[in-house]
Amino acid sequence: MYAAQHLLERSDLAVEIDLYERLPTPWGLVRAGVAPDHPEKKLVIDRQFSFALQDSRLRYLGNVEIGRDVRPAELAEWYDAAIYATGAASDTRMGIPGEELPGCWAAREFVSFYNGHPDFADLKIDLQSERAIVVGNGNVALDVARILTMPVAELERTDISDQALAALRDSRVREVVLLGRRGHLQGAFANPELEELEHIPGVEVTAEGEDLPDDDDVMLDGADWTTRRKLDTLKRLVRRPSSNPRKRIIFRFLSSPVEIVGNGRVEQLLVARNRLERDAGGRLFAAATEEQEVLQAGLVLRAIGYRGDPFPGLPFDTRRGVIANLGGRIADDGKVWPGAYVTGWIKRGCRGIIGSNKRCAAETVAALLEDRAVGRLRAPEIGRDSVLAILRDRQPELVRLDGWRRIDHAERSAGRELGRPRRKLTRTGELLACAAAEQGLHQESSR
Amino acid sequence: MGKQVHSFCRICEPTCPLIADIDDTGKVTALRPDSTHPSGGIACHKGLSFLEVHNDPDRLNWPQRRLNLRTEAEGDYAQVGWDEALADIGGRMKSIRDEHGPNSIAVYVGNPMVFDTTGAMMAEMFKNTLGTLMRFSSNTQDTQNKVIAAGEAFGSLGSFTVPDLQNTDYLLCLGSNPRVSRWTVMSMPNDDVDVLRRIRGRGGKIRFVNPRRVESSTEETGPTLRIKPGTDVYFLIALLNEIELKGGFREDLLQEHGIHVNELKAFARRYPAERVAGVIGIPAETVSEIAGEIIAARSACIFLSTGVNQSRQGVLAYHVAEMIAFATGNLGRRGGHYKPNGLRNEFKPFDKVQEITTSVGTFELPDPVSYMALPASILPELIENGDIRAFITIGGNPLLSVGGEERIRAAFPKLELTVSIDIFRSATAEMSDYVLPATDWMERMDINFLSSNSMQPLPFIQFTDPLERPAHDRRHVVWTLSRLLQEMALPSPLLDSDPEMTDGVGLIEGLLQLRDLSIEKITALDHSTALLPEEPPEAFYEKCLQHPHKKVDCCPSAFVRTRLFERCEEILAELEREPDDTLKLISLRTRYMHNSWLANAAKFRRGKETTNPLNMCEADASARGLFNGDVVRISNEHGTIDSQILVNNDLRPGVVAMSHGYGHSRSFGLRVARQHPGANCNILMPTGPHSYEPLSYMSWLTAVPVSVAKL
Repeated sequence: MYAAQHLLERSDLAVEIDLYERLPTPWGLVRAGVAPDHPEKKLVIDRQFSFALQDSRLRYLGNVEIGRDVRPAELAEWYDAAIYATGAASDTRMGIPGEELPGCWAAREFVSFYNGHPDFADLKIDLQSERAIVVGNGNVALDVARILTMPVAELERTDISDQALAALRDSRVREVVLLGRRGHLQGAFANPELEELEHIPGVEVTAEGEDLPDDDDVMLDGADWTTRRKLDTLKRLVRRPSSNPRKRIIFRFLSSPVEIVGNGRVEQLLVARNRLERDAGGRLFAAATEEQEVLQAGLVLRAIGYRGDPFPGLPFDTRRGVIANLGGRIADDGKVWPGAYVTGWIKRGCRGIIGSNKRCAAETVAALLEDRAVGRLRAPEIGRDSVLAILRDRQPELVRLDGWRRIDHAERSAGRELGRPRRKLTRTGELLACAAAEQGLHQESSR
Repeated sequence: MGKQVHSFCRICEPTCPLIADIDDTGKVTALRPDSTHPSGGIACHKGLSFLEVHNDPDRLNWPQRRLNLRTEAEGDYAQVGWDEALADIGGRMKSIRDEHGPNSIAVYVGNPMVFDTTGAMMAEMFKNTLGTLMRFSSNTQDTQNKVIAAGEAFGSLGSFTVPDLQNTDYLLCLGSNPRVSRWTVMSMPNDDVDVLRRIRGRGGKIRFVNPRRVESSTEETGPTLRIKPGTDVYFLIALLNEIELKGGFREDLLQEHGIHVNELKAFARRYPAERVAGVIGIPAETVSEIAGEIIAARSACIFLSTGVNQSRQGVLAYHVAEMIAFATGNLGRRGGHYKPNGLRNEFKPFDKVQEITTSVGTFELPDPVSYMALPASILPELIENGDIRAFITIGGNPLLSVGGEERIRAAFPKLELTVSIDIFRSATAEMSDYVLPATDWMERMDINFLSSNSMQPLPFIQFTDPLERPAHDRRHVVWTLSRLLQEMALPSPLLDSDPEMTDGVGLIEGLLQLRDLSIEKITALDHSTALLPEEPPEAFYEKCLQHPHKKVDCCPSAFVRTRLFERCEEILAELEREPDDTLKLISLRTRYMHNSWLANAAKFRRGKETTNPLNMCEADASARGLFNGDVVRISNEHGTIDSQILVNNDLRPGVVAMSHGYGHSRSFGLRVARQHPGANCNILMPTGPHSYEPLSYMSWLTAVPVSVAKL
């Protein structure tokens, strides 16, 4: 969306953009990744992205999958340039025995489930055990911990999916353990996310695996301001008096998962205690000690990073998990493919917040415009109308802007009755039916 | 190598210090905040991004003459030479003036001109030399109520006060959002409202009063009391009355420094909190609580700004706020309202008025006119009726910034001559016979005269050289107006004193001389800045009270003469009759638009800034079956515009908000703005003889009833 926005801003260019989306709905991770209790992070839709989507120079083409309905080679023929902003559909695995057992999920899958992503709408996630373990302590791990411990009544005021609400109403999870490979000074979480834990009613936060330092501890010398601030928050959280907590979140530092054990499903996680050591470059890393412990748990969620998947027809950098590129220009083995670009996580790896993509897209768009200026782009072989005709032929259930608007209205209307911002439609069939409601697709304008 | 030059921003009052990076060719490559400047002000993104405006390819570079009739929306412009343009304009102005008198030439001065010291002085000289009282300006859209109210109460048009934010223990902030608008009619170094956090830090209290929870209102500053729009005056009168009931009046001070005190008390007693609670939407107990807080505070300020100024009763609201300060001992006291030292620090008595008679009535203006102007909202009538024959706009865009765009457009072809002096071919310039290219603030020498004229808590004078030479054939308005006078065979500075003068160096030298300074002396100082000694706040009584009796007039006869009190009662009755589901449109300033200055800067026109959405809270949207993004028609008896809904729960139910400065569909000279025109919400604002506030001539631009329907 940022790339589209950057292009639309160029009033000196006659830009025309087709925005392809695999799902019927737009907004990528802002819809399917941002936690439902963080509506402020989704304001970027109402304040920014929706205005680009409604721009008359942009056509929304939902429910079209590149690689299935359209090949990248075709896009290269149809357009001056194609920008791939496909994000990360996979994640980093722990690589330990037992990871395949039922009850072990990627946090990414759970996040997609509670956010109503159609591919995960009916995930059969079992919340019947008392303890859940999240491997990792970054912001995704904290999102998951919050959703698992938050009073359901609060979630009922959000746009969380109905299926997730039902599962959470029945949840017996009382304790969420967040495993951190390294120490509290190296926690991956950000301070605002940590501070939020203070505001979950009835939830106690504790830290294990490592004593938190006193204010004058020498360990803190050399720690930067951000680290100290996070540590202050953590200490404040841990030292809060609590009586009869409803649920508990435990930060367990210096701990790595070793093996998931269970008879046909996750029952226990074997955890190694780590020690911090310095590598040759002086950087701290976690080294496992002999000491191990068994934690009982029916649910293990790995949250140690998203990862991009190879994209059919495009060169892939398996080491970094991104489409191979040079500053946004797709490049196979260092050789640039003219007119093909990437932006977002699939360009630079799974780092940064929503806003980070703005600068990332600016770099890509600058590369594209530079290529255009020096004549590296090839003119399209067919016109816009022909493209649309081909797409309609291949995907009769193409979702256009008016279709998405019908979905948007339907979701918001249903939400309004319940005092929720929206009630998401989570199954592809429902979404397509809603998009096509009133005026059937065949009556739609042929723009 | 290039060089770094100290300068300052001239977009709004703080005049934030800047460093300009200038390359070897003399081009400015970057504007950066100057954190070493003693004021401590840090420039915001508007100033730091000004190169976008300065280098805009749509800037005017040469004089242009319209070839086709002004009945056509789009002008067909041809480049002409300055001499040819000025000779034709001057000749036509001369014959209009000779035939119809000086008042047939109207001059509209826009807001950017107050940040052009010599340009503003020259514009004043221009109007005086023309002899016209047909004067209009942006002042009637934002602040003229404070000027005239101060003139009536304190005896000088320059005596409007500044709140002592650095020292106060209590701040009541109405109709103002300093975090976005950077304070107004005062020059507070921009610190992202740290000054407010410090009030809290020393145990003080802040309350915002606004129909919208403003960005300034945070946990670190204070809460917003969401008042019904356009009712601040009743809240303030009830507050004054409540303070008296609680025994909070300093009768000794009222006795010593005030006249007509009993009349003021009698007025306040007519508005007990219980009477107005329903209209203002704030419970009587809360009004009483605030009264108690003000009495108990060691010092207190009441600051009100544009949101109140524009809402029909700005004179009374401002006057009552000052009277609360006076009655509670907070006028001319540390932490209260005061008047800082300033470059001129001289407050001329307001003791004479002059009259202009028009087809829609006779109007009084001070003599000299000073900051005052006639009501801009009667422009359509004055043009339609032929009172105005020639219309000269200097750095202004009244077509968009005043109500009645369609009426003015329709009337404009009646004018015999229209001239616009601007840096852009704005909507107004598009309707002009001549468009004359002006310099922007990076292209001219200046001092921070407006701000250093007793509006800064830390008084300082700063000088700047031009950062770049004016490009192409752009000319400073001092030269343009001087040449015009010359062409009209009227006295002109170019003929008399200084034939070389192009940018008013002599005028700046004259101002600096008041402080024993000169351009040479001030440029030898760090940051070209001279700090002025601070004065005790008590000096207010000595220097600002300029009535012959040297007292505060608590109930000026001008208020009675112009029926402000009766009007106050009539409007209250009108508000009481208002149906419960009335929607009121208020004005919302964003960080991305500044009047219409930034309309053509792409970086400020992203996302919702590409349109001018109608902000509405979820409750109101829900009640009307509206959703975010829905296209709606907003209308009232004055006009109709289309926009789209942006759900914004900062708003009090019953209140919708839009920003002004939009509506560029016919600004053919502004390519970015025209691509994202947005709706001009001023089309919904009242115009005509009864639309403005008597005495102040302020336009009514906020808290206007509208209806909203889905399209």
